[in-house]
Amino acid sequence: MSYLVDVEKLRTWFEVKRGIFSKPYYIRAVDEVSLNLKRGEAIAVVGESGSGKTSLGKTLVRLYKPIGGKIIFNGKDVTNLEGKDLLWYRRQAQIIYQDPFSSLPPFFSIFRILEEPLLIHKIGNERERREMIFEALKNVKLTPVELMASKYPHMLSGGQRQRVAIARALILKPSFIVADEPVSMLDASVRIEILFLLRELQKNYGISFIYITHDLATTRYFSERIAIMYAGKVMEEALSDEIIERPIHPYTQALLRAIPEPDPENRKVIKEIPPGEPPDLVSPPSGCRFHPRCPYAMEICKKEEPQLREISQNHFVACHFAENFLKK
Amino acid sequence: MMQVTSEEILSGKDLTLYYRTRRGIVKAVDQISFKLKQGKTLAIVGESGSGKSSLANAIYRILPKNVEKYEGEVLLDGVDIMKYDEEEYRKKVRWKKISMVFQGAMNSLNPVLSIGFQIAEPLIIHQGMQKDEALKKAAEALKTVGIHPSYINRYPHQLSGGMKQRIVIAMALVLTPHIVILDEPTSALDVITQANIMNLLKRLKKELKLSYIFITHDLALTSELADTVAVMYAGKIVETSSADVFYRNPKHPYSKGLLESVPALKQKKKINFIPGEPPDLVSPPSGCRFHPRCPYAMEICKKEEPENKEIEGGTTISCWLY
Repeated sequence: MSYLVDVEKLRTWFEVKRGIFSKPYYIRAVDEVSLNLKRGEAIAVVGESGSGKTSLGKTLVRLYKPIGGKIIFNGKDVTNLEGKDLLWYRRQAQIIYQDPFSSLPPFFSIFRILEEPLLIHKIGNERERREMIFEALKNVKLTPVELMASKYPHMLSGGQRQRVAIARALILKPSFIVADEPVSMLDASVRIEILFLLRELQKNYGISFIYITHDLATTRYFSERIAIMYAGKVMEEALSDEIIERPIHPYTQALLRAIPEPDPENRKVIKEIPPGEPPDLVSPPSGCRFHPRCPYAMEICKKEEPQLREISQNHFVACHFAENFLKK
Repeated sequence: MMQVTSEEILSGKDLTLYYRTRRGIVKAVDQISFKLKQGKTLAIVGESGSGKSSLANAIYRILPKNVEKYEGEVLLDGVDIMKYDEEEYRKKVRWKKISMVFQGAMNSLNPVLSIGFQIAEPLIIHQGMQKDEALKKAAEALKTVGIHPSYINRYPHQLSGGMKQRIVIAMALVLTPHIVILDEPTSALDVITQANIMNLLKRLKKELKLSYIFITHDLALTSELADTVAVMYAGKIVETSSADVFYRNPKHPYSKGLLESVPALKQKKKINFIPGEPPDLVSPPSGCRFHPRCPYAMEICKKEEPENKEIEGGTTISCWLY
């Protein structure tokens, strides 16, 4: 099987210098993550804050340079691209950010915002660019296009701004898009509207899509597969329905329990939730990174790091005792 | 229309809060009535800009300078606290009877004061307690919210987000109020931490016999606490229902739309969104404020504003369909 994006043991560590004489230390934001993505497929990367999911996304579109591992895009190694080659890759791979209030330059009109990527990549003449911009606005349903193009970001609502951000990502006709929490700043109803739009565009244009989110509840509707990240590692990966109906990793199980469902019975029960919070990525726990919070942790969990392995068909889990949870 | 029963600990009638801005008058809270029962949770849900935080501020009386109109009735144990002047309100109500956990408060802890002192401060100021005694109380308060008392000398930067939120809750509880207003108490926290905080709030409610006003935009989270759900839209409460009625059979078209937009994890449910955007509170639509987005809108909805009326199941609703 050939993948559009094939990621192997990717490591993005950030160096933190304390002083000239002391040794620097590292924040291990992404630590040996392997992931692959077929053409036109959508994967959700789910994790809490500090799980490394945003660093992973930014590394995949090469806004960050990894210190180890490989990113193969369409058969080409893009891990260490520089200069012109990197510019080429940036045209193929786009990112949509979380905050539509700060990701759009305030003194640019919408037209100018959408023109920027075309200018950077020297695409089209003035008339062609104009057509492409109007086309992009139509795609994200910001109409009438002439009027919308003449506005400035502060004149738009949060949902409209995020549409502009989507149009900006799409205008270069990329084959790969990373959306980093694209709807978490929006109201519930607008959130679904934008996710529907993203899904529609992703399917229409056959874009490979990574949807980074902390909100497991929406993922089932918008992605074929889900990868669960914790402390810089992928803990579990499977088809969306499979992970939600048959979670194996104790962390995934806890996450699923923690997510509130709209049910009036909830107020009557206290949920069983692991205590504590995700670890510091400077010195993550030895062995399995979830072991200090895991209700099932054994001796081996403290010492040996479990590898991500296939437990049942297409269901990958990094847990020493995955088989035991499978039987339940 | 609204009857006072003995178990009502707090109620509002025609509570109104308008702001003056350069663009005009913002009708953030427009003649709102509500009831909070002893030991129960009233959830106020709405999208951003619906006026839900303004309603909390109107009850807790923390008002900005540009208030145009602030009136109505708020009965606390049968006494109208809107008649209190600022000094009386501060002495008799704020923190002692009603306290509040503000949105994002965990990020406004003072970085140079120990958390113990920050919890003890209201005791020293409001009750004139000696510092030693107040710190002892603060240690107890820490225990109540599930933090080891040895943390009393630590500083905010040494704590995680979830712990800071617990500190903020401890601060709200230190003068043993009966009512706590929770304004998005878990926003910016991770799901697992959020679930732990919700567990804590449930436990405290039972142990300390608290009544909550829970302000949030998250309908799934609302169900973790709410006994009654009041839905706000454009400065008005459009539906008040018991949680059981609201989640199983919402009445107002806006409530239905909102619930349809909540994804469910464990059942395969269809989700949908409400087209359009909430209106500008400077010039809200005529008639029913939801009519431009309502799939059931009729002629009358554009012209006349629906009255609040009680229908079967104890639901109060403003909608011409009922």
